[in-house]
Formats: sequence, structure tokens, C-alpha cells
Amino acid sequence: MFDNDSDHVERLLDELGPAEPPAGFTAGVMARLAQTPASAHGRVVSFNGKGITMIRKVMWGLAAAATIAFAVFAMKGFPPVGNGTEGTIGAAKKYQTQQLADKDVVLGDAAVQEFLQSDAFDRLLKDPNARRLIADARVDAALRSTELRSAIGNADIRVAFANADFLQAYSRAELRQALASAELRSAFDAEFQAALAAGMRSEAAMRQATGDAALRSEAAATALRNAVQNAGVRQSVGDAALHMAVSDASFAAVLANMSLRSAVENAAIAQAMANDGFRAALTQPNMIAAFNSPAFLAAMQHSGFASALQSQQLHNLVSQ
Amino acid sequence: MGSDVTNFSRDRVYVDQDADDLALIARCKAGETAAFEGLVVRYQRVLFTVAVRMLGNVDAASDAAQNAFIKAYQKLETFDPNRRFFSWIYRILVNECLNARRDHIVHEPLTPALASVDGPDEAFEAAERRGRVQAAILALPLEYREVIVLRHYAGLSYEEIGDALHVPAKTVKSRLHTAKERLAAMLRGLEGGHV
Repeated sequence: MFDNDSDHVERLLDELGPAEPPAGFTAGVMARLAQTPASAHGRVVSFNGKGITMIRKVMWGLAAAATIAFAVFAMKGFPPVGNGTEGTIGAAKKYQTQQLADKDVVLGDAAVQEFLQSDAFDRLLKDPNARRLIADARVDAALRSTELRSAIGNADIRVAFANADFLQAYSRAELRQALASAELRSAFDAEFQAALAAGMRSEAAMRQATGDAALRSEAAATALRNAVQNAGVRQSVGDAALHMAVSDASFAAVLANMSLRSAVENAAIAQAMANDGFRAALTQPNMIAAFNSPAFLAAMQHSGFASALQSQQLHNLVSQ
Repeated sequence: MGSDVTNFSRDRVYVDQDADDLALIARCKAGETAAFEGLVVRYQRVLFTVAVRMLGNVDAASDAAQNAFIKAYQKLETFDPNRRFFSWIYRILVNECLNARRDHIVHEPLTPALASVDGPDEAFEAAERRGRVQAAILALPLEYREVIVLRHYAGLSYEEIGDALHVPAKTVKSRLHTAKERLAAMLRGLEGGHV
């Protein structure tokens, strides 16, 4: 091939150029991911000692019926939890059974669907570490605190508490007391603002501004400065529940787990997380598999939805 | 032989693999589905371009590229972090393209955006020329089509193409040479091509 032939081909190929994907391509992929199982592979399930291969879609079909009831129970309250689940939350818990009237059940309820289809909920389901944390009694107690959930949902607070030096400084009672004082906060702010205006970031300037000789780290000074400028943080430092959580490694674990954090930020999920039965269910593998079921979405629209909810057979399945 | 500098005028559509890809993949594996969007945004253009050049059909290419992303997500656990993400997902895309061709996706003439030219006659000739070039690419056997597409529309070096195709760089170079010879023969006479 002559060089000029090669150049000719190169020019023609160049003229063709790259192609732009159609509008909505990325959104289309992400939408499909939301309804796509993590793996299409089946797995072997053993029944009565015999190995029987059951493809996942069949399993999901069975779990979908329980999921229909679960979705409503998550909003309305759970029936008594049966044997085998108490251990997952560290202590036996009993719940009041609530009678579901027809008027309480809305076929294809948009709020339920939105809640179950949220990305935050999806991440929570797929994160085994998050589910283990939920099963931890201390984390479980922390997540039931409205104030704590609110604090976790505050981005500035998360940033501040992610800094180890800040956590160490915050653990000192005199510092928290100082920050909780309205008069000191006011003066503190003025000095901080002046220091910031002067571009002073040294620890000496920070110590002078706070009167706290214990602040040695530039990182801690920066984190503290950013934190006290935030009204939410200043308000939260007087919160007893938050203080207890900060003293507990469980709080740091929740903050460090992105799936849990994202879930708590979602108002609907945060509300559900306050429900003992919901948190217990999240630790059960069969429920996780059910929530990943495309069949569930279709089942939510099924005309037999209300009847299925009142089925004793379904209640027994949910209670297993 | 070191990596060659690209010799074509257009911007490289391929974004070099970096630590961001691995970080996004790690987040996906940890359950953060939304992190996968970062990979889609980063690689959608190059994968779609490759698919269009491989299939010659925009709709089929869109389906193949989407399917490739979906399957890549489903198989993330099998991804070797010592490899480049593009090399890995490219193999998935090729299988999707082969499936599409096996399923007899009809090749419809592409209608690429017309270049800004002097007049309607020139625009028509440019469009017709691009259509013939695309047809010539599609007429190449797969092993030659791949190297042409990855070199000219993904902007990969010989080594990077070799990594994607699991062949040595020298084989890539040899196939490119043969591919261009065949294209030259098919496109001879187009726009005053040399005999």
C-alpha cells in the first residue's frame, strides 16, 4: 500500500469521527440498573437434604408475596416477629399487631413505591456491612434517635466528625460547654471571623481564639473552625444524644458507612429506620432478595394485593 | 516500540484509566449503585462510538452499549483491578455487538451530521462519503474491524488495543496495516482516491 493510500484512508476514517450517544443514554442505563438483578446466575438451594437448583427469579417470585405485605407493614406497623429473628437485634421484641383496614391499603401507593425504589434504599439493601451495623444493638439504639438521625443527615456535621482530631477535642467537656454557651459562641464567632479575615490558620491563632490549649493540630483547628461556623453544629453540641453517640464507636461506624448515611438522609427511609421491625427485616437475607425482585414492582400493581395482605398464609410466611 | 502519538486530527474519545475508575468500582462493589453513573458518563461516548462503527446502526449500537454497561455492572465482582476498565468492558461490548449481528440487525445507512461545508452539494457528497466509509468498515472481518475502530475511534495505542484484544502489540500493528490495505482497496476512487 502506498503511503498516499494510507493517508487517504486515514483522512476518510477521521472524517467519519466519533459518535455522540443519544440523549438520555446515561439515565437509561441507570434506570435499567435500578430494575436489574445484581447477577442473573442461579444458585443451588438444598431442600430436605437434596440439592435442587432454583433459579433466582423463582425464588423472587416466592418472596414477592411476602414483600407485598412487608411494604405495607413497614408503613403501618409489623405483626409479631416469630422465632429466629430475635437474635438479629440482640433482644426479643414484641409488637402490636395492627388491623389493616381496606381503606388503609392503597394499591400501588406512590409513596411506598418511591421509598422502595429510592437509590438510598437500594444501596442499603446491597450493603452487608450496613445491615450488620443495623443489627448491632448500640447502633440500633442510636438510629432510633430523631436528633441523631438529623445530625447524621447534616453534611457539615459529618465533615466535622469525620476528623479524628476534632472528635478528640470535642470529647472534652469544657470545650463542649464553651461551644454550647451562647455568649461564648457569639464572642467565639467574632474572633474566628477576625482570624479568618486576617487569613490566620495557625494553631496559635486558634488557641487564642478558643482559649483551649489542647488544640494542637492544624487539621483539628480547621475542622473546628468550619464546624463552629455552622449553626447546625453549634446547636447540636448541646445535644445529649449526640454527645453519647460521639463517644460511641457505633456513631463513627454509621457515619463511615455510606449506605447507612445515605439511607438516614432520605426522609422516608429515616422514618422507616425508626421502626424496630423494619430494621430487623433488613438483616434477613430472604427479605433482601425479595426487595431486589422485579416481580415485586409488578405485584404491587396486582388486583389481588389487598386480599393477599389479609391472608393468614401470607402472615405466616412473613413471620418465618 | 513505545506508544505512538495519535496521528488523526480529532480529539481522543478514550479517557485514560486512572484511580478514579477503581474508586468508582470499589464504591459500586460496596453497594453504591449510583457510583456506576460516573463510569457510564466517562465511557458512554467511546463505547457508543465503537458500537456504531462496529454495527453501522445507531439504534443497535445504543442497545449494545447499554447492554454492555448493564452486564459490566452485573459482573463487577469479576473485574480485575490490574486491568483497565475500558479493556474489560470493551470485551463485553464486542460480545453484544456480535449478538446483535447474529440476530441480523439490519444495516441502515448512517446519516452522520453534515459537516459545515460550502453548499448542499458538498454536504451531500460528504454524507455519502461517510456512508461508504462506514460500509467499508463493516465489510472488514471482525479482527480487522476491531483494530481500526479501537485505533481511530477510541484513540488507543497499539499496546492498549493489544490489552483489549489479548494480542501482542505487534499483531495489532500488523492487523492495522492489513485493515488499511483492504479499506484502501474498497475506497479506491472515493473522493479522487489513488489507484
